[in-house]
Amino acid sequence: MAVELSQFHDAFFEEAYESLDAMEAALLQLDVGSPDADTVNTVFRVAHSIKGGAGMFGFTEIASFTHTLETLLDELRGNRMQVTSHILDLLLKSVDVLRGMLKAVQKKTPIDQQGVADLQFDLELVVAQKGAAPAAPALAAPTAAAPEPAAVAPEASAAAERPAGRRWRIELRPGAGLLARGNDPLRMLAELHELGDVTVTSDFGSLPALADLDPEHCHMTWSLELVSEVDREVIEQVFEWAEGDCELSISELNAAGTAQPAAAAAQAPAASAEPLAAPEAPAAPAAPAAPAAAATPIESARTAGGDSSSIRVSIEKIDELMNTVGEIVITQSMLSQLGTRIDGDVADRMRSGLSQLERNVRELQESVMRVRMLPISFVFSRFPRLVRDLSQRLGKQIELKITGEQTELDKTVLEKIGDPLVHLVRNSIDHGVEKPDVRLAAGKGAVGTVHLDACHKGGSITVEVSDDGNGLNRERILEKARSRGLVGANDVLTDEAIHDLIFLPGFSTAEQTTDVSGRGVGMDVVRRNIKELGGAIEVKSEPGKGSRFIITLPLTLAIVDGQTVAVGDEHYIVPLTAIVESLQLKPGAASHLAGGGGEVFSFRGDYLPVIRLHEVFSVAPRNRELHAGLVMVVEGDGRRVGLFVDDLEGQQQVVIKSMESNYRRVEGVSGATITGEGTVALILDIPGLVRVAGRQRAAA
Amino acid sequence: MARRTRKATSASIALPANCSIRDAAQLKAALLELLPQAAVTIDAGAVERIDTAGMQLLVAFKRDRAANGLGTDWCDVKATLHEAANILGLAGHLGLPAAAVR
Repeated sequence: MAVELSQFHDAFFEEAYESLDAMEAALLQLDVGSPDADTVNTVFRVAHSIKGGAGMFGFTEIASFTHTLETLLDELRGNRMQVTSHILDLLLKSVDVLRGMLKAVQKKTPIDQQGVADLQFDLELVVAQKGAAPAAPALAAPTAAAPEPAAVAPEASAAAERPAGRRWRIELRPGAGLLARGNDPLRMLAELHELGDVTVTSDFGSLPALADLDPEHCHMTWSLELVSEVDREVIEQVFEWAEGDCELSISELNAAGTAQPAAAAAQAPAASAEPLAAPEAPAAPAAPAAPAAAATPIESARTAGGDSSSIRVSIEKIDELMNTVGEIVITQSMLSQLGTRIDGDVADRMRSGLSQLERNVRELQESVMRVRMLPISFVFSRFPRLVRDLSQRLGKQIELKITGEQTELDKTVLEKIGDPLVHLVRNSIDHGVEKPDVRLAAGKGAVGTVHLDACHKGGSITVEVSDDGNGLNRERILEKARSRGLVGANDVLTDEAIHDLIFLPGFSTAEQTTDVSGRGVGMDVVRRNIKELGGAIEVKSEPGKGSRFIITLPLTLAIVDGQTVAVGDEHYIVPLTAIVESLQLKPGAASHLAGGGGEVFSFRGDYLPVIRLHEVFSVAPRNRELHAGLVMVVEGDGRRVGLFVDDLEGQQQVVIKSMESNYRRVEGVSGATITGEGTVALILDIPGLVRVAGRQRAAA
Repeated sequence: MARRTRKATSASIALPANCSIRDAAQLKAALLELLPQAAVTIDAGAVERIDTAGMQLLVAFKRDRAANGLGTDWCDVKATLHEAANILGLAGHLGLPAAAVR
């Protein structure tokens, strides 16, 4: 049965990562002492399915590790052990180790064998030592009565208290589509054979004569008896993929080998069928209320057919779609322009058709954009773990509050905002929120709050990280800035200006740098990353009450609101966010600096340099006199300059086409777009433009 | 696909390497043709992959022939086929020759 499995690897990895995220989330909800049974089951199922997948694909290290993990989880699930904070830590660590292993296998790099072995040992030890830590009293009495010696291997101890083998009866009646959907009973039954001893009886009474037989339809049915220690769920997992394509009933046989009558079994609550014990094994944990055997046909609990509400699509496909839609937008605007020049009785009808087209195209464009949008919860979901780990390490009590996690933004933005956010949250925990005793002394509750919030504001997204800690220490920041010569000794700064200092490179005021944050490589990188996304970050802080970091991000990187400017016969797009204002200078308003330093003009008490776009891009302008054209004041990287252009044209949203992927990187230009006339217009990158102009002037 | 050789009243069929649902229609056609032959030997030496669809055809073939009093012989049955037959509980029905079974 050698099937080429590598084609499924990607799907396995993707699913495994998602499962691990779910497992982590479930673990974080787990209450030490009184764990929720459903949550424990969720965690168990994740471990089990990763084990199954890893086994199938031959990732033996992962399969072996998850097996150990599963052993521990099974103990927890069976209430034979209690969830302690130590176990919870181990489980969370297992999530990390599994992620690491998956990554290593995926990238074909070596697995951190030592780390895996250490944790695997710890997990085994915990299971082996469970005699010392009695489980939940209600169910564990029989188990705890016979504590295992600490050195016993986990499998052995698990086996000792379980019945030697539970007997399961499994009836499999394949449906019409089973084989055609790639679900081979042979494979499923082979998996059952691996679980324990199987007696299989096939029934082909309904198998038609060869001549009438549909070879893609399974006409046979099976009745199996499995002797194994596994739980019902493990058996159900074997048939998981066939869900909806077959009738399946799984029942546990009692010692006499007869299943309960189906009618009685159907009434039995599903839960009562769980921890069953064969009567000949008195040491087993028997749930007193449960009947000796109960069968619950699982098809009743499962919905037929695999309707799922989403599909996986590669990002390239969406980008392709996006690109095509962009082309349609351009073609449509070309047609619209042509339409205005047509006369005659057809023209009216054509124009109304064109405007219909325009509406549809716009809707199409928006729909495709929405496909790229993901809720920010994808990023937020990693924070509960981070906050838990950090606050534990730092001895702080912190509650994480998350709001607005359904706010959607572009996948590309989403991917790049993760790291800056992690940094900010770390900062809040490390520098912001105080230790419990300090908080109590300051008259606050011992538990600090870190709040993550996201919301739409106009055409952009605002993400806020705030805490109710001590706030930024104004004096210390100022002192540090002075000692580094960033601020003159006698300069008077506003609070805002002082807060802004923390974004300067190499700035860190933590009295002691910890391994959490405070290496001084932080906030400047955060700001730079956010700026690269076309966003901005500001900080607001109140002494003793906490600080707020407010990030503003564009909804998408694929489209920009731009102002079209004309220089000679060329058109350029200036992003609206960069524009301060546009003005016409009076003759003689600009003056030349001495020593070839270029031209400057006075703008609200400042002198701003003039950048002549036609010089930067070497095009023939319509005007060379500043007062004959227009000066557009733009801001980039905190500097303002005046761009000298011939004329301003319309404002519009333009679809950004990458220069790098279509041509090569050009400094001063962030991308290109195609206008309604079908010509290419460059989108200006203002900070880059300032650098280019500076160099040209120096060279002149 | 299956190669067939005929000698008067006895015939044999060499099963292809891949006896899965993908080629099940062809296998069915080949088996159908052999159905009325007085004696048939199935050569399973080449079988590398077989799934439930393939097994089902063999079971139907064997059963339909038996119903008409016709015998079916096997030759060169490899572990793959034995294993599949055991897992599906069909070894007896197919009348596979005893072999090293795991």
